[in-house]
Amino acid sequence: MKKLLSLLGILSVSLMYAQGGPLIIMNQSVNYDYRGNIFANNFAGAGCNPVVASNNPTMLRVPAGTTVQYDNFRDQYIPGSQSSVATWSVLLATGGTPSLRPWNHPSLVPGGVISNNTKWSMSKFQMFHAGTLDPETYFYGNIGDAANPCVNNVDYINALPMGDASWFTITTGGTVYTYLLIN
Amino acid sequence: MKKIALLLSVAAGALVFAQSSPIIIQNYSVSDAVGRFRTGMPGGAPGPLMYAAPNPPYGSYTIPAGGFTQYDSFSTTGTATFPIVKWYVTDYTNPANNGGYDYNHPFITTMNSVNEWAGFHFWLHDPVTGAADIYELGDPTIYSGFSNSLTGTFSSADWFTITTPSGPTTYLQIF
Repeated sequence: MKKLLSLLGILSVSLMYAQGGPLIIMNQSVNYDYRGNIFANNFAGAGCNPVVASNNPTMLRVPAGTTVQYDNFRDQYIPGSQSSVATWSVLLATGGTPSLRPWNHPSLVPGGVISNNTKWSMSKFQMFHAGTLDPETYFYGNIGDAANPCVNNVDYINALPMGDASWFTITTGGTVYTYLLIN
Repeated sequence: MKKIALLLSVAAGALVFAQSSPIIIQNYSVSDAVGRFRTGMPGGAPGPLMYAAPNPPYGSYTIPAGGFTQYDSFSTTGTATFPIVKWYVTDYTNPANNGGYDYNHPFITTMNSVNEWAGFHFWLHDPVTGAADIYELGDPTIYSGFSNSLTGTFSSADWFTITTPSGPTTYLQIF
């Protein structure tokens, strides 16, 4: 019975997480810029649809020593910023074709169905020597929520002594903050 | 342990029998969506399918501009915001099933576990220019002419199913 209750507890937690909160990329590295893309997806169902991925720019840039916060698909866009997403790629059904949607597409509004049923799930990234397009060959990877049922991710990447990266969440005041922390 | 296994199998069952899941329709556009709303066999298998009767006062099935509605099952559609009081059944595999049935007819209750929400073949008229966007929106695994996501000249539309821990819900959204 106790196990059943804890199972139900886990189910209700996953319901809570379904209301996504902000993604915060904290690049505390002194030497390296982050360049990568970010994903959000449903954490239930075959294929985990919908899946939403940053599409334009191809790689978001978070310069060494800076922090960028993505509140939701819409309220993150800053015209001309290399850190903000102008176009999202949205996959609604397994086997379907992703559609490219601008940041202000009505289907992506906060509180909408897609927003409410996805959470930040992973990033594909490569670190570059700050201010250059020279990759740091040993500091890159796929990092994300290790509990993602559809994608196998690690939530820690060790590229020491160059640096390391961690993916975790902090819940305060009912809001789930997802962090990608790069040191 | 047995109870957990039972609970998990119930949860898995809810995934398998997607046909009894709700559909939520949200027309965010400024145009009425007018057309033919239908159900179908899972995977497009041979068998019966159903078309929705017009919802009064409209002459065709219509989700008016700004309209939201939810149908929890085929056999409860008559009490929704935009009611479907009658379903028209077509069944090539058994013509005896052909005909119109009230939504609360026992045959429609049976259809709850036979059919799935399939699609909406509809059009929108731009209220300013009068131009039309025409969509065959729906589940392409049921009918290959349907698409999950379509964009017209002044509008767009999505049809998709989201799985939640409490089961699947299908969304029909028009923007």
